[in-house]
Amino acid sequence: MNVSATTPIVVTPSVLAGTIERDLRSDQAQIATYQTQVSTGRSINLPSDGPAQAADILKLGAAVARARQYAANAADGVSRLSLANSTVTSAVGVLQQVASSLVGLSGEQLTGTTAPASVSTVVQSARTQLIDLANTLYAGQAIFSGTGTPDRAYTPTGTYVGAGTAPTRTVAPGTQVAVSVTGPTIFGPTGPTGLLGKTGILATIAAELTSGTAAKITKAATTGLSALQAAMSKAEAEAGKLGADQQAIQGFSEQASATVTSFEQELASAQNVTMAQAITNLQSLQTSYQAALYITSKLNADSLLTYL
Amino acid sequence: MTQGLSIASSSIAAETAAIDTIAQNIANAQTPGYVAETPGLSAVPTPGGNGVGDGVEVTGITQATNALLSANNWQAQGALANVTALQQTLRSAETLFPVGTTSVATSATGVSSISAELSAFWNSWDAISQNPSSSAPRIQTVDDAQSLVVSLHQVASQLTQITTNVKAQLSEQVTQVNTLLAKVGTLNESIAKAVTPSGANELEDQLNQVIGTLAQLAGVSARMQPDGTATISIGGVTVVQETTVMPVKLASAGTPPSTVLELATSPSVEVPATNGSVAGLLASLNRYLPKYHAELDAVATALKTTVNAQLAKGYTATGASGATYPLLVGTGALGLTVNTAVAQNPALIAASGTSTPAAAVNDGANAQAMAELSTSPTGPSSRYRTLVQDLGTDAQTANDQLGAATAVASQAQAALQAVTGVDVTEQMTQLLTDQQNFEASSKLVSIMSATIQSLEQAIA
Repeated sequence: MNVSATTPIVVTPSVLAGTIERDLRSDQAQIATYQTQVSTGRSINLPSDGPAQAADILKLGAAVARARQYAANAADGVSRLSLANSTVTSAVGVLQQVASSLVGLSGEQLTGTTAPASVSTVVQSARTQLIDLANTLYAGQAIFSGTGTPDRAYTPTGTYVGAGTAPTRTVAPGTQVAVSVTGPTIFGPTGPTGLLGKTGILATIAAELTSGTAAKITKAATTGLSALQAAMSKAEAEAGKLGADQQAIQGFSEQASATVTSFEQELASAQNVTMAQAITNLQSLQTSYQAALYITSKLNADSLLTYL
Repeated sequence: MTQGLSIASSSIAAETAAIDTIAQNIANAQTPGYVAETPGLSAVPTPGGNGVGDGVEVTGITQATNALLSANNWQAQGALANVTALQQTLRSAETLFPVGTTSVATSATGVSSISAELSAFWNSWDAISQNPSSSAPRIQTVDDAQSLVVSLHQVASQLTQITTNVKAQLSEQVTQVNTLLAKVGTLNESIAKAVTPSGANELEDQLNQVIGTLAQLAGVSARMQPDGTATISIGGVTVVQETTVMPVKLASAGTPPSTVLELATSPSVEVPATNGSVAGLLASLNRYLPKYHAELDAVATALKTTVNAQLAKGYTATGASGATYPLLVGTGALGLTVNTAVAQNPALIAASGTSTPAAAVNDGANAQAMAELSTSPTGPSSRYRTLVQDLGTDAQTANDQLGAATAVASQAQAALQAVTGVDVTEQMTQLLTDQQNFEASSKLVSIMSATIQSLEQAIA
């Protein structure tokens, strides 16, 4: 209830009525404010309820939305890196098979034609398998094509058609993390030092094995094998790096989720009304309002006229 | 003896006048502007005789006026009306900017929070960067931009609507002011013509009431002249003197043009209304609403500049410069639109950070950079928050002022009422006294009559 500053010496009925009316109206306005708070569950509903808090709430709301996006970006990165990691691991497995087949070629087998030819088939099918693995898609996008052609990273003949660098994801303010690697990083360049190209290591080994020339077959089993092993350990190293990246982005993902929670809590404490407090305020105000109404009815009923 | 009868008769007449006055006071206890009346009684001296006077006479009916308290009350009521008008405008303006953090409609006006829409818009750029070659996230970004633009239009046009309403209200009130000024002129004329000062009491009451309304409307100040007429001025400019009335009108002046009140007959004379609802409306119109319009325009400009500048740094999937394909065109919150060419072909959104066509095909580096602009201190989100905070501060100040002005106005009115108002209890007490006096005088007449009768009987 409003406290009137000073009471004039003479209180006429209209002054009394005016004062009571003003007090009741002020009580009603206060009740309306608390009712809005209780029904919306928020202490700040209009900018004038707290200008600075209103701006803070908007800022926190934007921060929550942004943090959720960081979490989504990180989750996308985790999926991509996990797929890239498992793909490279599979590729290493395929390469290991080829290597063990080549190691098996020894002694008289090197001079025959049957054994080298069957190993050549293994090598050729491994090359096709690797090209397929290199063209692995995530959400319709080739994960090893960098920022180039989205549908594939390599042509069926093993030529790299991707471009640019591996894409990144923003996982925290100003922090970008690569979520894959480009094809050549794992499979080497398109030329003779690479694995997949027409003139690449695998194609060369396969051609040498089917040549029928002992020298060439021997070269495939020695020089070819060591080139293959070098490429394989490079791919293994990349798989290790991808695994580490995956762990790192997993960390960012957890951090982003934690940030979302913390911002949400901050936002809730900024904008949510303390229900118990609001309801208690409302009730005590209603009591005083009722008292004011009762007094009003008493005051106006009594007059000198009653006793005349 | 006969003189006693005449004295008793004069007493009966005086008590009747007193009781009549009480009746009039009670009847007008709630009449706005009514000033309590008291009968002026005076003993009548008698020429010669036995030295006893000749009874009592009513010299006039006086009013319990108090010029200072009246002026205070008018001033306080004008100040209250001023703040009320401003507070109402600000209250309707701030409902356009609900403090919501979700993009659903959060207020009765159906306006969604632009802040939440901005967040959705910025985040949609990250979705593009996750799948630059897909059209779905690009379409989503264009949709988000479109709903943002629609919200800006909506808020801007509702602000314009508030401005229009304030203008209409203002011109209505100015018409009312002129009608009342003319009424003051007419009342002044009648008061000046009244034969006795007390004959003009009821006219004075009417004049008080009209001045009270004028104080609430235009914050007039009134000087009461010795002849009972009122000289009315607004902000120091006299608008009514005796029967001369100078009507006022609204005009546009200065650069940038602001709405001012001036004399209708001599347009160059500005009437600086500093109080009353007209002043509150003028302040809304000249100071507050244009400020929010400008700040909303600044949000739109910041959005356009930020987005288009970042796009200009990027390239489309075919390597074309983004400078050719701005996303947002037009000026101001009302004029901002999504570039039709880009809306129809979202592939023109320059999401790539490289111009080499082979590498730009699936590059989202520029879109990624765009998403990070959400927290730019000169960006639209930050400007929008400034707008909300400014408006909130103004509205909060107006709310506080309204509380203070209400208290001051009630206080001033109570103080005035204490002097000029009708205190029913006092009147009833007075009535009892008057009644007793009346009865005593009647008794006196009856005793006189009995005495004369017994004398007559003795003679007969």
